[in-house]
Amino acid sequence: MRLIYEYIMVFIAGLGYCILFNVRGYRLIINAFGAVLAYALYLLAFRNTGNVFWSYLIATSLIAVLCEALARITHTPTTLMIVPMIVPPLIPGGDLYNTFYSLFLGEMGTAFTYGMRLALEIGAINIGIIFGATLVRLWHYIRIVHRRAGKLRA
Amino acid sequence: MSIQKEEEEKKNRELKGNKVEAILAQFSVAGSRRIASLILDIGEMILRSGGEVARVEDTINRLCSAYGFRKTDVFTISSCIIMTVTDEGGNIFTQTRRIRGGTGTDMERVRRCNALSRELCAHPLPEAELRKSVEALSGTPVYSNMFLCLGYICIAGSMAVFFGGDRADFIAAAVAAPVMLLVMELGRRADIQNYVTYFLNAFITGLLIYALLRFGIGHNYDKIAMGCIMILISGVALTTAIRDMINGDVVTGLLGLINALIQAVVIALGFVAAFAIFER
Repeated sequence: MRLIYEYIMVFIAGLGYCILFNVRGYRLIINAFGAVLAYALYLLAFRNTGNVFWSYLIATSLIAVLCEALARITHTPTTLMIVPMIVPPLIPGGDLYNTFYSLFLGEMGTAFTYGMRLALEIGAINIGIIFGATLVRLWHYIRIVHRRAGKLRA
Repeated sequence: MSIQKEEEEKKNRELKGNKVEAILAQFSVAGSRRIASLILDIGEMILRSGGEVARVEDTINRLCSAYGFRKTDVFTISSCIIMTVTDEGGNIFTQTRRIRGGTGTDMERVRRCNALSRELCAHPLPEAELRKSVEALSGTPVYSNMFLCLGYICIAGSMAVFFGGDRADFIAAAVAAPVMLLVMELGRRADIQNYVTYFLNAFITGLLIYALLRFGIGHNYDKIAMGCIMILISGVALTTAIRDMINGDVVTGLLGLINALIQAVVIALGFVAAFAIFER
């Protein structure tokens, strides 16, 4: 039950971010569903690996690849399409707050734990986006090489 | 005979010179400058609406070659665009744009600029129509303030519940979000967009949330604060910075990344300070 609530909340937050970024028309719905999909991928990866870093990495890379494809199909710039999909489910607002809260209270142990998680999460998001974009570029490159080879053969 | 030949050669040289002059006169510098300025307008609009640096440079390069400029050199960072262009007549000129006041995120405008530049690369418009199209771009519709308020409420409330809050936390965050929007608007109108504004915004909102808690609305300060943090945290800045680094502009990307991280830290500190004052 809680899970369904979380999905609904991610959807609403996705809509909210799209309004913030002046996304119009059908792209609003696509972005919101993309956010829900990102969260589902994260949960799936977490169930299989149990590691926050790897689940973030896998979820972000897959969503980045999907986002590039969607951006080409709908003729929209990629960066602004990735943000409403990645930010609501994956950006660690909770860990950020908890890190600085425990820091303020002077509990260094908890602060360090949360801080390490925060660093890992942000690092995983970075690497995930880079990895996804690299995969797409690689695919484009292979396509171009394939075409050139085809022309040479003919 | 030699004198006749000399006179002939002189005539030929004069004709040639006149021809070259006539050709050069077709490509007036003023016209090229105006077109280059309009192209730069499009690039500036993309940058101001949150587009990546690589996209701006790519757009300007493509548009300039579509309009027949022989050589284009563009340099873009988040606060400045410099463009040097050699047109068909061989005239070389440089134009600069300085971007002050920060960038918003307007995806619809970036998409329209992109669409316009694709059209222009296929069918370049003459100058008057180009000017009209560029002016039409600045009239891109934006959501009204009411809608923005609704968007803020959606984000804050849903994220508060997402991070583990309950229904009362949703309501509290939904109440705190428009206040946050107000403070941000005030900061934008006063034209101060730096870390102090973010800290003050977070701090004031934190105080408001604590007041709401005291009045019985909302149960967990930290969950509500997490919901409100998600509004202020600039996911766009982070993602754009990373993509800038991928595209090769490591300096811009790194600066953007560090900026985004410091922003996040400052915002979190604002919320924590507002709570810790009362609970110490």
